[in-house]
Amino acid sequence: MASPIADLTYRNYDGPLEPPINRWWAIAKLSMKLSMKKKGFWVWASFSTFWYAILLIIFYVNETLVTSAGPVGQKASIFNTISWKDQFLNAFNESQLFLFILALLMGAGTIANDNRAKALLVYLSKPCTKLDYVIGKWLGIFVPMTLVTAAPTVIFYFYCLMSYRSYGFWSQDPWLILKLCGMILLPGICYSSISLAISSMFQQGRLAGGVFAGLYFITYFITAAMNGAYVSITMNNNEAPSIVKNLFYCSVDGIQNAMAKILLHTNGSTQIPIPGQGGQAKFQVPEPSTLVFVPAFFLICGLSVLIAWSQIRAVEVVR
Amino acid sequence: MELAIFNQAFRENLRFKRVIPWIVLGVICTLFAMNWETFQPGSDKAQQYGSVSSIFVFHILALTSAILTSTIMTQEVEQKTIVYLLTRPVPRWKLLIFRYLACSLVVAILAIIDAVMVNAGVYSGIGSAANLGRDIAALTVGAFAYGAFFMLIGLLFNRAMIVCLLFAFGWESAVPNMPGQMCYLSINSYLQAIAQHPSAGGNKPMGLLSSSAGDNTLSSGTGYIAMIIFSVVLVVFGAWWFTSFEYLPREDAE
Amino acid sequence: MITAVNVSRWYGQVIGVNDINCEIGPGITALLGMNGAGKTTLIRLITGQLRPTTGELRVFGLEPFANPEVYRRMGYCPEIDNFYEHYNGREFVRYLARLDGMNAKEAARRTDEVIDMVGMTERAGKKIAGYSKGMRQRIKLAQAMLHDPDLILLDEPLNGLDPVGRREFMDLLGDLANRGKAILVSSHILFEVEQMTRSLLLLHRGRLLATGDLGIIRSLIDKHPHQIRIDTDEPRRAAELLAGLPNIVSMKFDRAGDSIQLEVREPSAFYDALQDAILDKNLAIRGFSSPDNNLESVFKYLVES
Repeated sequence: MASPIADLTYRNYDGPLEPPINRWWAIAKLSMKLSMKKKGFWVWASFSTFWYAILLIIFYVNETLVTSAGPVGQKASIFNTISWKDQFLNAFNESQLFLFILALLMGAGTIANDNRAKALLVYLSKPCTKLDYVIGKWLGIFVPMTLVTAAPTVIFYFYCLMSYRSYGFWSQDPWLILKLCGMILLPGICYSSISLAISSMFQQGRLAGGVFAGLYFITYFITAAMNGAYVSITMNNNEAPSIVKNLFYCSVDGIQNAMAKILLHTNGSTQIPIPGQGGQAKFQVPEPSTLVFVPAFFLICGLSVLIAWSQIRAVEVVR
Repeated sequence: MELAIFNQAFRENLRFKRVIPWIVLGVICTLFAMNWETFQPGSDKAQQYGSVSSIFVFHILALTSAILTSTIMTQEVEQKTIVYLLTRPVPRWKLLIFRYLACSLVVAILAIIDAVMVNAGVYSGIGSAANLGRDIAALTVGAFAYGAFFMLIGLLFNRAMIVCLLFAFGWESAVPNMPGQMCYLSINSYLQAIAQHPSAGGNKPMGLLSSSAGDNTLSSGTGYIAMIIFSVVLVVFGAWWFTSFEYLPREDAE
Repeated sequence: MITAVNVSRWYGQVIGVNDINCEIGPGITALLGMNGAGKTTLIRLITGQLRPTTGELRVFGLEPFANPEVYRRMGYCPEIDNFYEHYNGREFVRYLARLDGMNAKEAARRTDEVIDMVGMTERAGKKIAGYSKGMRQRIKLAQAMLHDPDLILLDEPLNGLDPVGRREFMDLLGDLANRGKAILVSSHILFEVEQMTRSLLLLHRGRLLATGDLGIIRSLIDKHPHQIRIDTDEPRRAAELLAGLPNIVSMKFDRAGDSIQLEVREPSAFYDALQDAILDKNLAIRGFSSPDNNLESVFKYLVES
């Protein structure tokens, strides 16, 4: 007969024991939550949309003041020669610095801080594999980064679709939205892979951040120098050598620019749409070779993830 | 005691593992220097050296300083080793200044090595000692000036490195090319005045990249005086700040 | 050596320590309190890492914040477990010896001395990154004793030490205290503190609950009568004899029937009367003990009150 006094002692869980699934998602969610708690995340994410804001102002002014000012204005309108997809490309390129800072905020310490806090010992003592950990950390950077890139791009796309169809927004490239969907994945893939690799090699987020920043800015200066060289050579009506064109894309910034140009299939055009010369591409470094840069992009990202995977150890190794 | 502070910071920053990225950068710069005629056709050796030095070496100087000097104290705060230092019978200002001197010297050495490698790359051996000499002077002054600025930022802000990187690459690239008096608000303008690199001629894009497209009419002497005053004022202010305010161990800020 | 007058420290709207008044002199003093009681804040105030928001704190008669004169006579072993991980133990201690103002030769000599004192001579040449918790603790202790300070502050110093290490360390502290050093040990492990000292500072929620000798503090807690256990083969007879004493509040027999537990007020008066009450009546007593005359009970009584 059961005792009239209830048994209030602790009982272990005796329900069914299912193998845990989607463990990587728990890690990704934690990383995302940490990132989004940072005020800097929202500040730099907002800054990354600034070029779309500038374009909106330019289009609005052009629409209300220039195009509506009779035949003369219509002739001078930027919409006559604008290349719509290039506007997305320019906004994408202009946002790179801010997206890099976001990656620095989210990615530099993502594994390095775990290394220092010896949190890997805790993670990997759970039923959680190295792969779960890497995927979780990668997604923890990729998802927010992609959302930050996607939100203004999609909003701007639909704004233009509703407002500027009569100026060729749809007819120029009906498949643009699909291409943009590919383009908005690029920063997420690139930055999450590289920052993960660098972060995994350090015990301090700050040092990892320094190396990541060094890599970004030094390669950026190669791109900038090649851009200068390309423009100065082209201004003298000479053909720029292919090493200039290829080195232009050899940076963290540049390779994403290359991929975006390949996806959108464009050489690019002037940053501010110039009336009558909206599609001018004379001083733009042309679209690079798909055969070289697409494999290069995925190779770099893949290698980066592989580096991160190989660096992660549950046991601290003292050399 | 002062020597111990200096030595520790100096050796810490010159650890082989830490120097490797800068050696790699030097090699890359040298490769560019050797082939710069391809990128700037029609330019003479002095122009080539000036361009590579301005575009790469002076920006590496700013980058190195932003990474190393902004963390003079924040590194200790985030490693939480600051408690060992602040509870020693060393005046805080001494701790800060000797670490700053060591760190800036390391930055200068790394940048000078790059400048020498670039010079060797352009001239296929050491050539134009005058150009190189002016660059060494400018880089040394620059290391201490950037160091003073970034050290202060590191003392004032939690996320100092991001602020410093934005300054080093945003401000220092754009402001020297601005018209009128604006260019005088950039450290790089003063360093370019000391280095006296030959102009890029009519090559506007190269001028922009070399930070020489602004109306910079500063003399070399003005550059020295301005940078020395700038460094001293910021270091004194930083030392006062560090002595007056609390610095407790905290988690990583970056 | 340390004088605090109405010292309070606020972190924004959170209070760290509140209106602390105390004096700490030579010998070992324990700083006790639960987690978050304000022990580390008080130590940071004393070591000059923080400034009091209000009140006045003096160490050797000087304001400690960023004051090298104070640090010249003070050694500090922090609670944190961080080092320059790529250094070896000897390099780390020697660097701090140089910061203490010693020349290279003196620093090397003194480093070897203190490393020997903490029993790390054989392992001091290995990288700190590979040290166990106990080894790290020993290195922290070594650096705190480098310049033979008059005042040593130890924040949770016994964490991670093995039993032999604890014993050695307590003996070392005892020696230092006998040489006239002031030692402030923060801890929440009452049993260990009790073995080191009877002098304590008790913090709770930022306030100083009690300060002074453990015995005196215990005797002042009137609300909680002292417990005394008497081991005897005739507990009921003992109870009969003791029942007449005025200071006894309650009596309880244990289940085994070989002892009696009493609650008494004014224990010294009780002990005085004990002779007449039972010892002269040929009652065989095997032993006396006082289960609550310890730090844990004092701590519990004070915190609960």
